[in-house]
Amino acid sequence: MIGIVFSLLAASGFAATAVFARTALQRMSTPYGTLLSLFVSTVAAMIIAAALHPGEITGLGWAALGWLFLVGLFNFPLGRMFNYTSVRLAGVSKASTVVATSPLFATVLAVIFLGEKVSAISLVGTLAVIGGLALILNQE
Amino acid sequence: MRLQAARRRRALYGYAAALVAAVSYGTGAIIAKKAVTDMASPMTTTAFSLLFGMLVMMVVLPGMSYRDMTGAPRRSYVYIALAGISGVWGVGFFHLALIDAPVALVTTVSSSYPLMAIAMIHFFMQRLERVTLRTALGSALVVAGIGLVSVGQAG
Repeated sequence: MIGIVFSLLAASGFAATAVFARTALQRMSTPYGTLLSLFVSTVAAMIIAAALHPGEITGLGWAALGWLFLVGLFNFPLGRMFNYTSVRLAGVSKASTVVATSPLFATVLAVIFLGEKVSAISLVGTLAVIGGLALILNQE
Repeated sequence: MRLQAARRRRALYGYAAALVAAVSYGTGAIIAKKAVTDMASPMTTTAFSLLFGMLVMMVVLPGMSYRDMTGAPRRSYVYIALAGISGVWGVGFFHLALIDAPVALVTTVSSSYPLMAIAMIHFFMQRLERVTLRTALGSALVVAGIGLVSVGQAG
């Protein structure tokens, strides 16, 4: 039960991010806005991480730092900047729905590179995602 | 007519950017899974990946964007700071949820955020954009589909 509550709180954070970014980016360039939001996020996350795992922060090896660099590269200069760009150009309601399909792409990548199997339920879900996107994208 | 075509083109660029973001987040999730399983705790992973992401942005950001520092109004700074904080709020609770609940459940519930965003826009920021019934229905269908994909892959 607590897991569901935390997941809903996570969803509220992601939703608020999109709405705040849409408001801010009316008068600010997307790359600069992305950089500023990353600065605030980094400071907040570093403080929390230092409080929770003080020893781990100073003890990370080069291999771990390499993986964390890759996570950062895909999630932030690419993911967050294109997310903010889409919110600015297409609006929160449509852009956030398209961005929310990322678990589908994670599944496709896991099937291709990690050899995971695709279930029938996943295929039905994929069709529902495509149907939902078609509803949103095919309107004036 | 020309204005409508320009709006349509702007929206199409937006959808293309959203797809690139979705693919990037999907790829990032695969790499993050390896990182949080074998390398570091979820919060340390979040903090360091944010730090590296910010450093890359600082290097690649065009000089033009730095000139915006003086151009944007104070309200924009407040809102972009709130966006950054709510981003950490989202990621932090996502990782906390993973401790207590299966990945499929967490992914499904947290993927409902477009519906929450639509509700926020509808109730608090109608001047910002208009939400059509078609968009709300499409969003609900996508969220349901992501739920099925997550449950299907978990099983």
